[in-house]
Amino acid sequence: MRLFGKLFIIFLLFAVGPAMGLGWLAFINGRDFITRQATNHLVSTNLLKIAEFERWLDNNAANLEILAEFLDLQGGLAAAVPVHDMQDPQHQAYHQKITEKFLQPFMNQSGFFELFIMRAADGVILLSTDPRHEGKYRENRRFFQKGKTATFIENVYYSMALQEPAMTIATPVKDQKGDTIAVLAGRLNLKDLSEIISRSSGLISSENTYLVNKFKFFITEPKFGQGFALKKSVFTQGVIMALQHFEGTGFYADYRGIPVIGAYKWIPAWELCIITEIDQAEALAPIYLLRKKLLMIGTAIISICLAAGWILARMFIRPIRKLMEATRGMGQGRLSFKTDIFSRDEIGDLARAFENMAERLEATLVSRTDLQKEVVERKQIEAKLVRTLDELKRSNQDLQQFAYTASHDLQEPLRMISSYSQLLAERYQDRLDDKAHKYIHYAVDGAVRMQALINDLLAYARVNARTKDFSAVDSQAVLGTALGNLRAAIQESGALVTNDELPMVMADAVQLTQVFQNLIGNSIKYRGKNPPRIHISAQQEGQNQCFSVADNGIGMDMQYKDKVFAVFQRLHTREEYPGTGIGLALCKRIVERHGGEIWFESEQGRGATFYFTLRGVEGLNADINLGEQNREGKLSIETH
Amino acid sequence: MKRATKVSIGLCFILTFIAACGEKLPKAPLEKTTLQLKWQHQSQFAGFYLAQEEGYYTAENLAVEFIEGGPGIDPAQVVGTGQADFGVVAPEDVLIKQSEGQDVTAIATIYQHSAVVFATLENSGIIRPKDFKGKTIAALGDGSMRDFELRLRVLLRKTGLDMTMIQLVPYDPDYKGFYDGKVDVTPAYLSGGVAKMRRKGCKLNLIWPDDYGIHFYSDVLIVSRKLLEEHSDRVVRFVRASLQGWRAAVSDPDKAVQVTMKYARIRNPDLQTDMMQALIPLVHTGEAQIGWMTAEAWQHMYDIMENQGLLSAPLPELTKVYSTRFLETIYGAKGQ
Repeated sequence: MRLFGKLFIIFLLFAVGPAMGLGWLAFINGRDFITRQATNHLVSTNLLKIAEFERWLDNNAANLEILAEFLDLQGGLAAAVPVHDMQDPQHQAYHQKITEKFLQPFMNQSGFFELFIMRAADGVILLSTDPRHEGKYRENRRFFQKGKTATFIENVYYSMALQEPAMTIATPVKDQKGDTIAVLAGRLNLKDLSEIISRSSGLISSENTYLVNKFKFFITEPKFGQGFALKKSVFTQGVIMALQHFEGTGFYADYRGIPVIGAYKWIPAWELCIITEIDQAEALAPIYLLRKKLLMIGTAIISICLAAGWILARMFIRPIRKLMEATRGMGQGRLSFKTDIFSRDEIGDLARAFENMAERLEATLVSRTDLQKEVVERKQIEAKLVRTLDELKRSNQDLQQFAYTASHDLQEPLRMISSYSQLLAERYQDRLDDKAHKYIHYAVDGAVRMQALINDLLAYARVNARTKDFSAVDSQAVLGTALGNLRAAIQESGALVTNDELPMVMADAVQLTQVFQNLIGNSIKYRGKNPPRIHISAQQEGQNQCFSVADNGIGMDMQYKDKVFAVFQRLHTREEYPGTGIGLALCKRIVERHGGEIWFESEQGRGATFYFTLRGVEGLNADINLGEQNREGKLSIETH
Repeated sequence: MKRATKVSIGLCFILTFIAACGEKLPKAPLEKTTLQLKWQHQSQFAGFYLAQEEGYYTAENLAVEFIEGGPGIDPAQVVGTGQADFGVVAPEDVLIKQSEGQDVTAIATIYQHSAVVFATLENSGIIRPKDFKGKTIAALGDGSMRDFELRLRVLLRKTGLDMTMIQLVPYDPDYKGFYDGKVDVTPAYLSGGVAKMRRKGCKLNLIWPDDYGIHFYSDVLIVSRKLLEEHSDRVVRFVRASLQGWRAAVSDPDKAVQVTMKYARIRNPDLQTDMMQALIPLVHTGEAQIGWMTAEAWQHMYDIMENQGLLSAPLPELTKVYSTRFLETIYGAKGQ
């Protein structure tokens, strides 16, 4: 989770947690209080209703007893009892007298809706306020059997005669002697009872009190529903508890399936349950209201906390986010920035330290960038150089190739010129005059000279064209070869050639021979009047060996130090000293090819010393030895 | 801690497994049994239909088949000969069958009071049994209608009349003679014929023998002695489920009628509702549990039958006639 989210949730928890906790406590307390109040009300209602119920029964029973006494006092009944023939005029007279004078007036001001008198002997109804029932027998009814001895209240039962539930009170009627002659019974109007039981204070609209018999059937009409008495049975928790003779309260669903708070009580005297219930919805309405208010307050608190938490989290996060953005910028190379954080707290310090760091990093990076730029430039130049060099090499090679080819191909026609000129001179010797011979001689001489020139040029060109790889060469032995080649000239000139011990060098042995041969040859050629003395030595200069060829010849002016090394450049005429003028150019070219230099020191008439450098073998000794060993190894293998 | 968790998880698995096994165990097949009804399908038997349709029988592991009654069918005979396990009959039939040596026993009474009344037209002036003298009464019948005639005999004797003083003609379940005025008095069931006649628009006086010291049960549930002795467990389950059905019917007559309509021959829900309303007070009086029987009531019925000479042989004791032990098993010894 992002830091913002975490901070936000923490703020929220700190703010909302206690608010919810307090709300919950308040709610629980309120609920307990209201529930206790409701159950107390229900329990007391039950007690009141029981008292009312019993008072209602007792009052009616007492009234009936008074009527029975009254009937007896009048004495009329005793005479009527034995007769009982509805057709008998005497009976009719009694009937009229008793019903009109006693029963009817009494009934009108009591809770009974039918009064009837049964003969004690057989239970036949002698007279009734409802004449239809007269003549019927009630001998097996409990109200008759029990009512013969004392006042009896028959619990609620279904009266077939009335086709509805009834309660009947019966009381004995005694004659003057105290014998029971009849039973006076009255049927109670259960609508009255229902009214008494279900009448509520009106403060709570869902308050519902009703009686249930031991068979779980309604006895009185409950507030919600009609025609339930003895027709509907009820299996709610309250009824079941009451039937087990428990008294208490509970939360359960009532006969309609609606959640109620109910108080139940068993009335042992009447074997009835009394139940008072109120809908939870109504009873708990104040709680719901409280809950609603708490929820609203809670919601408000949460909203405020949400906003506050959001703002606070933002306040904390914004500088961090800015720093983060700056860091990201740095990652992408943007080093000059301002975080715009001016706070004096730790985050402010961090931001400033960060800015500092960025600044210094930028400085470092700038110098580095310059260096990089330079490197790039140099590389570019180098590449250009290499390119130029390559071009140069190529053109040089082309040139060499051209020179080589040219000089090689030129020799053939030249040979033909000199051959045929000589053939002309020999064959027509007789017919040619001296002048012609002279011209032919010039032509041949020119051709020979040109041949020499071309040969030299070819040699010069060959320096680079036909080369062998460098190898370790004993310069002493090379000098020997050169001197061997010059033997005739040395003997003829009487030159004295001396040398120091010469080193091993990395060179093309053939070319090195040419260098010695040319330099020594020049020393002999340009000798003074004295016999030439030539000394060859070598001196180590770092990795290089610097050779010198010193003579006592005619020497030359140092102003020609460059000219003498140019191709076909000569300081003397051909007549004075023969030659093509390519020797030193060749030497220079060879030495330079070996990576060395060539120069001279001289004075007119005082001899000259030519120097040239070659790469020594010291640094490569190990390699050479190794190479020789290998060669030997190879040889030994071949021998086998 | 960890170990405890593991153990409890293991236990959960085992318990779940056991529970799963328990569910998968095949239930014992339902026991088949038959109930011979007293008459054609109508609200009169609503409690049994409810027990069937609400699954009370199935819950008791019973598969009950109803056998309809009707003219010419003697339900007590059917049960007595073992063609049906249970039957709904008049209590008189039980006493008569016993006196004739057939072993059928009442195990519960569906109607606490007799539903038999004698109906007269309101303006006929016939309002008491005494008024029957010289009148035409359509109470002659046999089989399931025999109780009409028997009841009439008793009522007449109780009133001081006898059969010679009236004109007895055969009972007609369609009440044609009664409507035409050829018949003055017709017996009928409160929960049957009376409702039918009232539906036809007849204003009736009802003379209820119960008001004249003749207290009979009506529609008692019987079982053959053999089944009672050999399969008393099945009897308990059948009675329990049936009475549960009756309690449901009394509690919710509308639903009872609804269920009855699935069976009823007369497909008139209003009529069936009237019947239902009429029978509820007979089934549930508010004085005893549904189905409850007392020794006094049986003694009273026997005495009347005996006195009238309606039994072929006197019964020295009534223990074979009825048995309250199933009711006691279901409701407790005192029926509460």
